[in-house]
Amino acid sequence: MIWLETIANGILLGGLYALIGLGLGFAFGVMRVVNVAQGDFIVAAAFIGLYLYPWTPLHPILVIVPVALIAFGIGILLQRVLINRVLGHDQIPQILLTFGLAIVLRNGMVSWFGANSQSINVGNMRFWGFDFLGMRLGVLPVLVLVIAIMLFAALRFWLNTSRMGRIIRATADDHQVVQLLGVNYRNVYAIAMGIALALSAVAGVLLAMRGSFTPYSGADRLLIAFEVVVIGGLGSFWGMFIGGIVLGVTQLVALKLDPAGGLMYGHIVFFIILILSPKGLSSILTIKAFRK
Amino acid sequence: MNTSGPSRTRHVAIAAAVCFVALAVTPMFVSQGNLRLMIEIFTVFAFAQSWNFLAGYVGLMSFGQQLFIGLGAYFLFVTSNAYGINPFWLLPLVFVLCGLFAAAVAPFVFRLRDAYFAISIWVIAEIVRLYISQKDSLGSVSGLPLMVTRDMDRTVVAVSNFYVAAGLAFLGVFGLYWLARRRIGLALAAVRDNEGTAAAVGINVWWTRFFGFVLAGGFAGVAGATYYMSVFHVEPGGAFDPNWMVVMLFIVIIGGVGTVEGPIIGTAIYFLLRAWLSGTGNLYLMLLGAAAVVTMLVASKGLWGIVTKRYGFEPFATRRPSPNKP
Repeated sequence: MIWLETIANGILLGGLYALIGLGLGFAFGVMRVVNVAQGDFIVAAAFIGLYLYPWTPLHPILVIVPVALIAFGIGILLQRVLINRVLGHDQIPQILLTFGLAIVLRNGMVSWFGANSQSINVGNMRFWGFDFLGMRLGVLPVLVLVIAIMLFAALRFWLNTSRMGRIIRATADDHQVVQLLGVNYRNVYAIAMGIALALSAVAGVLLAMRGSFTPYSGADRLLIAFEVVVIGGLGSFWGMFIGGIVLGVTQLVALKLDPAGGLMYGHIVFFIILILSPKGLSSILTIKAFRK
Repeated sequence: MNTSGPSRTRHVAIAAAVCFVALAVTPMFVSQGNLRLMIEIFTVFAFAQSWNFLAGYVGLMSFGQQLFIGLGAYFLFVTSNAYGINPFWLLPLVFVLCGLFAAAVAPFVFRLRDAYFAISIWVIAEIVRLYISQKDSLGSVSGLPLMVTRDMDRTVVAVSNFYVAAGLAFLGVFGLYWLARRRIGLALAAVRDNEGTAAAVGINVWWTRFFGFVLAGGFAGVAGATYYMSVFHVEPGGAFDPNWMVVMLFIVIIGGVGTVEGPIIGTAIYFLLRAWLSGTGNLYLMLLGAAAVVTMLVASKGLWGIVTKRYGFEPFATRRPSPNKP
């Protein structure tokens, strides 16, 4: 029973991991831009949440709304001011640029906020739980999973049905051709980066509510996001969700077997999938998940 | 720049001979403290050059080059401690072991491209770091000391260490130049610039990349072993520290990726900055990151790129004059 509960909790955590990966995967799918600073933006969002939640009306969990909006703005700025300038056939400049940005962000946060471990306090909700099929599950983790699923579904729905979604998908297919139809792909990229950062920001705040974070957590978050995207590349949009759940379950099961292991077993499982999958991983190079 | 091929290589050969002699006599004139600093400078330069080779010559960007630094150090420490062997004799073995490790992971990581390739090696570095941190026989988080050199004469150890580090720096400059001018260097450049065209002229893209990856891994491994040998102690948090990657990136990016000269300038700037900003901790790391961002925006070829463009001065040019030009 304890194992079933561990797996159930792993799935709950996995939904959040999937959300961490979604921002990275979305940005890559649309722009072929890999934002190496994603992990540190996730941590920055958690800090913003930490400072905003005392002023949030109704319930602290609603702090995800203002943080997502701020992150959306930052994403647009980031793309317009920095990344759009180094776009091109060669991927190296934008990867190095975001890597440099990650270093600046991480060390900036260390000097402003200190290296202490922090957490966003959601009050009593942290301790609420309920019994389900004989398992004891937390309310907060379930709520987090629900938010993750809703965001996945909403993004999918919006991409498939809205006019902007159609433009984004077209731009992802061929950013040269859309210009013939009067679309400025640089603006589309800016919006896409805004969405990517907003999604990551929500993930960052939720992660900070479920557990704790330090300014150095960015590297681990980035590796999780990256692993989710690569595993998810095996399938479709929802493949990323499966990737997150694989990692979440692995981590919690491993934590039971070997408490000192940390993220090691998640990394190993990722690597085993990389070895086993014959050519499925090459599919992350296509933007299939974001075409219809 | 106007000098023809053969005379240019002659100049480089003379420069190599001068450097060789200069490095050979240095320990006679330098105090042990300065010798230690020079060992550090040379090994860090070798780290940077291994990454520069990978990114600028092979066209493979990795964010996990610290993997080989740590592996090299651990291979050396563990073997030397277990069998009581003089660690200096183990360096060729470290090269082979790190090369083999690179060869073993290459088939899997080569399935990923660009940033995904870069981060997958970082993941491997994390796996190895976490594994070593848990293993008591490998010293877990507190690390391992180097036993054998304790009983040896300090001066002999320092001087031998200096020669190894100097040799690595020498190879990092002249070995890289030599390699870039060989057939394999040409093949690497072709694969880096355009895979499809390279394959069309009969270059085996996969094996060429594989060769570059294994060589860079082995070289970084020996450099890592040399670095940690000079401080007599290795621990997983330091040896597999992603900040090594930050340092390598800074040096190569600022100097100019894909050039022999760039990282020399980059290393000089790095150590000067470190001396000036020592004690400021995070500010100094922030500056390294910001410098990389600015370089990418303003001059993606780095400082050396500006020099070459403005003055046409390129002593280690590996490009050959076009046969069609008069």
